[in-house]
Amino acid sequence: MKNIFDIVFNSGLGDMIATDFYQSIPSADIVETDGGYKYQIAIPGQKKEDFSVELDNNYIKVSVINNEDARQAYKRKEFDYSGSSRRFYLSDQADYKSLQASYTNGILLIEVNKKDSVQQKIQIDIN
Amino acid sequence: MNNKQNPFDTFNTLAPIFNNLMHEVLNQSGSKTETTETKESFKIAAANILEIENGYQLQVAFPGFSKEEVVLNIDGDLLKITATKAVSETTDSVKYLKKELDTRNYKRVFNLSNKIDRSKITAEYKDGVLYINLLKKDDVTFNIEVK
Repeated sequence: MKNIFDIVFNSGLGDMIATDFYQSIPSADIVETDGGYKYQIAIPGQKKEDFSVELDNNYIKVSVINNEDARQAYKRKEFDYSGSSRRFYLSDQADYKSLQASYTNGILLIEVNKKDSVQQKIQIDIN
Repeated sequence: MNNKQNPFDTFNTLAPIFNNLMHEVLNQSGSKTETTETKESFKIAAANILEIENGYQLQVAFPGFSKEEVVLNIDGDLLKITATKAVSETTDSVKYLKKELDTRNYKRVFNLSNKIDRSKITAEYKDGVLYINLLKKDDVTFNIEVK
């Protein structure tokens, strides 16, 4: 993060107006279809070995490895997901055993099927 | 001393930011008049700039786009990168429980300094990031014979 003096005196006008954003928490879409759930998490620039996907109660926890050796000479950084993690709620309707993850074009896709929707109706006798 | 910028600090994105802002403002005016040109709204792609030996590497993020959907173009001093979705995905019988990813196409423009050798620019797309290598021109000094 630049300090205020650097920003005012050493930046070009373009730098000041250009978005000084810094993305470190991945954004995600969660979609529910008739058959299951899809979690699409945008984490570009990683390798699939860099991720860990854990299931903890009703939460899917996605973590990105902290890349210490990648402390290279970046002149400007607007996105860096290393070391970040995020949890997503996984409904009880989901069959966690069917969970699959794949990484394509910078999107980590996690797919889970819904449990069989055929539910038995239970008759409760009232005494 | 006016010029505090180092000669390679020319990766400013002033022009396209204003273009995008103007498009956003005009698009949201609420007016439904038809225009002959379509005013597309682009999301500005995030970029990292890494110093490499004898130059720089731009790393521009386009998550969700395939290599074929990314176009890199040099127009004068401008390095323009756009990522356009080929087909808009149909979303019937789909319910969004969370929607954070922007479905708009991405764009990013950089100003190339004169010191960058245009003929040596290479680009590679991997896992949602376009890696562009920009190398500086070789210093050429030579004597001119005075006749």
